[in-house]
Amino acid sequence: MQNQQRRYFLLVLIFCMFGLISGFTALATTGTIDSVYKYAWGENTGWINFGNSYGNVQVGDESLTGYAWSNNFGWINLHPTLAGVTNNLDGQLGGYAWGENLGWIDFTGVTIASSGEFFGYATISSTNSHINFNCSNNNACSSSDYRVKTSWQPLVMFLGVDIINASSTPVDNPAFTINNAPAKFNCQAATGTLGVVNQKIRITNTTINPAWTLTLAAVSTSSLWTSASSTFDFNDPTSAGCSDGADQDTVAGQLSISPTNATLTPKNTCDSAGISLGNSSNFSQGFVDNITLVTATGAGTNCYWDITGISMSQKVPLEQQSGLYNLAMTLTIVAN
Amino acid sequence: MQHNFLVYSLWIIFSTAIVLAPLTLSNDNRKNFVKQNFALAAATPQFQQTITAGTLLTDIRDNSRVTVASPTVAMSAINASFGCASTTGTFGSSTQRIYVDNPSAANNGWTLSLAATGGVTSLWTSASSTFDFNDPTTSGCADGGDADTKIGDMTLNPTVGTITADYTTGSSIVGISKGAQASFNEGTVNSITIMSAANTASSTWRGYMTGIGVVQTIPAEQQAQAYTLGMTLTVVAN
Repeated sequence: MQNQQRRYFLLVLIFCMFGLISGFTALATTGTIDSVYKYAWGENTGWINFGNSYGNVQVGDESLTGYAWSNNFGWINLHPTLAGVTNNLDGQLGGYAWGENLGWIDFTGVTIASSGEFFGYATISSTNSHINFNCSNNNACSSSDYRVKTSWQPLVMFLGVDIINASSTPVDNPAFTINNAPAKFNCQAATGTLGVVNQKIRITNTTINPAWTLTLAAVSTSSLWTSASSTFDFNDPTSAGCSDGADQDTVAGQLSISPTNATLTPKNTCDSAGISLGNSSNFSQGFVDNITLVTATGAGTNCYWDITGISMSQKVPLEQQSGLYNLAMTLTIVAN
Repeated sequence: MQHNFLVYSLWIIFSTAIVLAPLTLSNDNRKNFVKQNFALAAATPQFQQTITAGTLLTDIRDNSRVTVASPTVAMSAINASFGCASTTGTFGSSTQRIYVDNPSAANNGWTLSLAATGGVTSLWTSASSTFDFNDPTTSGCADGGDADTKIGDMTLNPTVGTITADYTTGSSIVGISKGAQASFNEGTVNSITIMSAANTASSTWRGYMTGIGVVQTIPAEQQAQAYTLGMTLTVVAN
């Protein structure tokens, strides 16, 4: 995060993301070693070839198999009995290989990036010496361009919501604006749009689960529209949002959200089948604390959808002081 | 009677914050991956709204707060005579209230004043005759050094009037003051303050004034006619 506010909201993100990926069972996919980038460098062993054609190194979602070859120390078994180099699906390696003349080699600290490149160092247990998998680890590429690379790529399964601009770049500080309203002696409604060309709501689902729900809520049900010197409410339905009611605060105001006429634009290889827009609804503390924007029951996977044009209407209490008011909201997507 | 109003706008810059969930697409070759997954991800956009300064205005309204289309102040009738005389009236009544609305438009106070619509050369005018409203010579009973050759002078006395707050979130008239008694004097007193607000007054305030005393001197031998004089109320932010 690039600023304090983003660091603040990181807390929310961490809270929301804790359950992102939980237990799954894989059917293995494997990759081979690149024919060019196949060498690691051991400080005590010299070059180690992970792409030797006789070694048949395979990189899988859960483990590495096959043999690497050291000209000085012979074969290194990546998958010895009762041990072996492990992969945790997202490219974090661990476990032990066995070198016939080196003994155990600890792969903890070696990673495979989305590019397929290995990074980090393995450690020969008996000597505590390192095997470097990428010249960039120690900024040595200008003198010797080596690395180990595989066609295997980390698996990222993701169900998420993001705010992107027209170029599909995440927006650093998205803000959805309700149109300016002049201070008045009467209660009034001010309208706005959630999801616009330069701030589209993007739902991405690369999991295999086709069912999810996107909702909108304030960071807290006791949140208020807040300016430097004044506040008003977003979830008080009394007198259609024009009077203070039975909730805990003493200010009036109510925010209405209407996704019914929103536009849903799928990734070009996907469609909107199985996805439905939510109904118009008004925030009401203790009763309607979050509003469903979109629901998927049988949507495509490995897809994304951009949402624009969700209507917003906020009741502004009478005699509300002029000022810039902010209300922190949270878009949450949950797999069903 | 006409009324003007001035508009003051206040624009304020937004600030925002967000957290984005990581966004990485999986490989197509992982479609056969079998998983019972439960995912939760969030983004936290900021919603923003600006309540701009409203419009500072003055108006003549009835007791239902409805604008009076053609407000008038009727001066007492007086017989034509060979001597200088005076007539009296009241500006602001229960059915013609002199309102000021300040919906966060003037945070440093405001001033409500009255002046002739046609400017300092205006005259009380009937079908066939005129007399002056801003010539204080001999207490309004003689023509003086102003540009016209007419006699007459008008005096306003806001001090006898009443100020009433009329808004929902408060009832204070702290910082609201009546103007001082004054007489029009061409080139010297072209407008008369009838009510004002200091910066201690609520920045969101609506209220009205009634009962302002009005005295007009009538020159000797003025023709018997119905005379009118257009006046303008103006409220200005300090």
